[in-house]
Order: sequence, then C-alpha cells, then structure tokens
Amino acid sequence: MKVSDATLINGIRLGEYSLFNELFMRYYSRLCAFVYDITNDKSSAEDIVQELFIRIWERRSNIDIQESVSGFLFRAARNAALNHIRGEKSRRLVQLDIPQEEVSIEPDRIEKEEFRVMLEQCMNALPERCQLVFKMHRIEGLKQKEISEKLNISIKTIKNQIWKAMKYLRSCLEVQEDA
Amino acid sequence: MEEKKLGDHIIDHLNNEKKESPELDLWLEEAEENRNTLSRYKRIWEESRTLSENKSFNAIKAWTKVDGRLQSKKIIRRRFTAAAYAVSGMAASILIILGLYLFTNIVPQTDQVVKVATAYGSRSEVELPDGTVVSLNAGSSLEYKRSDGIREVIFSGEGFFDVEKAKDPFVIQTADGYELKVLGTRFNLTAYKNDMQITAALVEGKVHISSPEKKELYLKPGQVAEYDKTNKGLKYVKSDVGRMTGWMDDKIFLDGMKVAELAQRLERRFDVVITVNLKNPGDYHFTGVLQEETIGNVMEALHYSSGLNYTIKGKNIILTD
Repeated sequence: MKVSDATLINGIRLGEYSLFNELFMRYYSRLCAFVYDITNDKSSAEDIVQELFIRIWERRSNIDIQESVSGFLFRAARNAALNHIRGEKSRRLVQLDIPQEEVSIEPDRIEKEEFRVMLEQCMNALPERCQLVFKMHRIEGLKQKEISEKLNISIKTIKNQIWKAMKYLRSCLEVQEDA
Repeated sequence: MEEKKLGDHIIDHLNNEKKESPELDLWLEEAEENRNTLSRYKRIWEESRTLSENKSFNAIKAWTKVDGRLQSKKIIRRRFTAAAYAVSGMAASILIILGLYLFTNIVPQTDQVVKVATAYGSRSEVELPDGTVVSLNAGSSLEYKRSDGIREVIFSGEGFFDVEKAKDPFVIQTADGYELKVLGTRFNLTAYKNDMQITAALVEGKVHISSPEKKELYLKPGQVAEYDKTNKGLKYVKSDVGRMTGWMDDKIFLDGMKVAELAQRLERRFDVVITVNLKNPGDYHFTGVLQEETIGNVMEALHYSSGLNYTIKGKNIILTD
C-alpha cells in the first residue's frame, strides 16, 4: 500500500527518516524540472531542491502545511528559485520579507505540477507489463511498431495495454483529485 | 460503440490527431460527457510525455548527497555530545555541544571548573548544572564551577542565556569585571574582549547590571544596555532585541554598520581573516540583513550591494574599492 503525502509529512514531523527519503524520491526530479524552468540552470536547480529538502528535515517539527503537500513543495521550490534569481542581482541582503510575486509564472503552473506528480504516482502503480509498454511509448517515445519488435508482442496487444493504462490512469487521477 | 473499439479510436486519435475518424466524431457528438472524457485522456497523454524531462535529474544520486550532508551533521552532534558526557562524568549534568570545532578543557577534579569555548566559525550550547542553558556564538567562552547551588559563570564573547529560575541570583562576570546579576530571565549578552562595548539585551524577566565603577542599571524586557569600556559609561541604548539575537538564526543585522565591525563579525562567524584595504573605509555603511551560509555568498552580496571588491584566498579575504 502506498503511503499518502499527508502520512509522510506526519511521520517526518516525528522524525521518521525513511519517510523523509520516500518524500525525497517522490518529488526530487519533478521539483528539479520545475525549478529548472525558472532558473534555466541545471546544477543550481538541483542545489536549490537539495537545500529545500535539507531545510525540511532540519525544521521538520515546525512544518505546518495548510494546503496539499505537493502544493507546499512546489510553492517552496518556486520561492527558493525566485530568491535565487533575485539573488544574482542583490543576494538576500535587502530585506527579510521579499515579495514573492515579482517574477511572473503562469498561475496554473503549480496546479499543473501537482497533476504531473499525481500522474507519475498513478503511472507507477500500473501493472508491470502495462506500465512498461506505456512508459516505452509515452516517456521514451518509442512507436508501437518499435515496442512490438523489442518486446516481441503484437501491435494489438500493445494497443490493448496502452488503452488499459489510459483507463486506469484516468480513474486513478479522479480518485486522487477528489482526495 | 464497443468499449474496446473506442479505446483503439482514442489511442489512434491521440497518436495522430489529423487522422480522420468518423466513428470517433460520432461518439463525440453524442454527449458532452464524451467530449470531456476525451479531453481528460488528452491531458494524461500529453502530460505523460513531459515526465521524460525528469529523467535528467537523478534522484538516487542526489539522495546520496543530501543524506551525506544530514548524516555528517548528526555525527558531529553525536560525537560532541558523547565527548561532553565523557568530560562531565556525571549523567545528571548534561553538556550539550553542537559546535563544529570546540575545545573543552577541564581543570582536574580539585576545584571542578568546566570551561567551554567555541572557536571562530562554530557555536555551541551548554546546559549548566542548575538547568540554565547558554547558547554560545563563535569565539566565546564560558567557565563555571560544577557544584550544586553555585550560580556563577565567567564569560566572554556572545551568548544567549536562558537562566533557570531560582532563589539565588545567577551571576555573570565578564573578563573585564563587568557583572550581571539575574534571576530567571532570557537575554543576549555581547562581551567580546576586543570589542569596545559590552551589550545586554533582555527578552524576558529582569536583569540587574553593575559596572566596575559601581554604576547600576535595571533592564526590562525589550531594553538594551551598553557599557562603554573607553568612557566607562553604562547606559540604555535604542536598539532592537530581535536584531541582537539574530545570530541564533544565522542572521547578521547590519543597520548602518561600518566596515571594521562587519569585518570582525564575519571573521568570528566564518573563521576567516579579513584585511580591509580601502581608501576611505568610513564611506561604506552597510544596511540590511545578511543570511548567507558561506563567506563566499556574503562577499558576493556585499559586492552587489555596495560595490565593494574582494578576493578570497583560503581563509584570507582582502577588501578593496
């Protein structure tokens, strides 16, 4: 059974290091890609996200999340990224409370990222074979014919697996969105 | 339309939108719900493609780094806690030490004096036998006798004192003979040997201060007192207590600070040696808050804010116009 984000955060607050690791694995790459879109620099994106996680662990007992966990993470990452960008000019010297909205980011961007996180989680919950076929097709970008040759299965089977995956993802996302 | 057939049509459509499919069009025209369903599938289809971007960020490798950094912090903490236990020799008196480089010296058992000192670039926290907790900033030292009932310490540097309530006063003596007597209070004390002032800022409770010249002062919460070593004056000063305790959150409040003082603060905080090589050092005033984690970042920040130039070679930093 997969642990929910809220359960992870509750455990982390109590000092469960393994749950912290799980949260990290769940969000690290996604957050990096998100921060990269803002900073345009890969290594600083990774630094920012690693710093963010270190801060989360060190201040774990004071974490107070009013929104969804992913919303919290992406917002925190966005703020850190914006601070970083502004920092290139003035560092964090000027004042304590920096207005967070100076650099415009399309408003539904965080919602989009949350959707992607849910999608990724749902995708990882797909049955093994189905997951493999779907990922080869969508993530690695292989054509149905190429998958058919690689896995030595018929195009018909591949189509079935992809459709099965799509149906599962749709219902999985509906459940997650309602949660 | 048969469900499986619909699936084929939808997948074909998603793969190639231009390909005409009268059957799918018909299904879409049937109901709005169908159109919504297709648009949901479309979103999943498109977003799943973007997930490949993640692959360029290796979470496992990154975890090794993050884990390493967190573990090394923990080990340092543990190592020094263990060392503190060993030197105290008494489970009841716990010495919690969090500094990076820390020198503990104990004069042998006879008079049982414990001395805790923090090097530049490090900090520590000490719990005294009476329950008082002292956070020591970099370059500070605290000396106390380890017997019950005695509440007297010799102190230099900067520290935040959280003094346990008791009948007997808690007495702090600075190396210069400045004395503070307090009951249960929380306050910040800055008394570096080579500073020209000694400053006390009260957060909670009540503090009585007396100077070597027997001048006296009482501090109320929010008040700050300063003793000037050159003119022997003891007086209240207008300052913000929150700024005085900023060091505990890794902040340095500049507030119109001059180069010399800033350099000294940075030397203590980051364990570096700063050479000021400016034509008119008095022209520089720094305002704002420094919250950088490394001296490199601090220098960069100062460069951007004031135009000051710098070179860093190991622990040596030279400031130039």
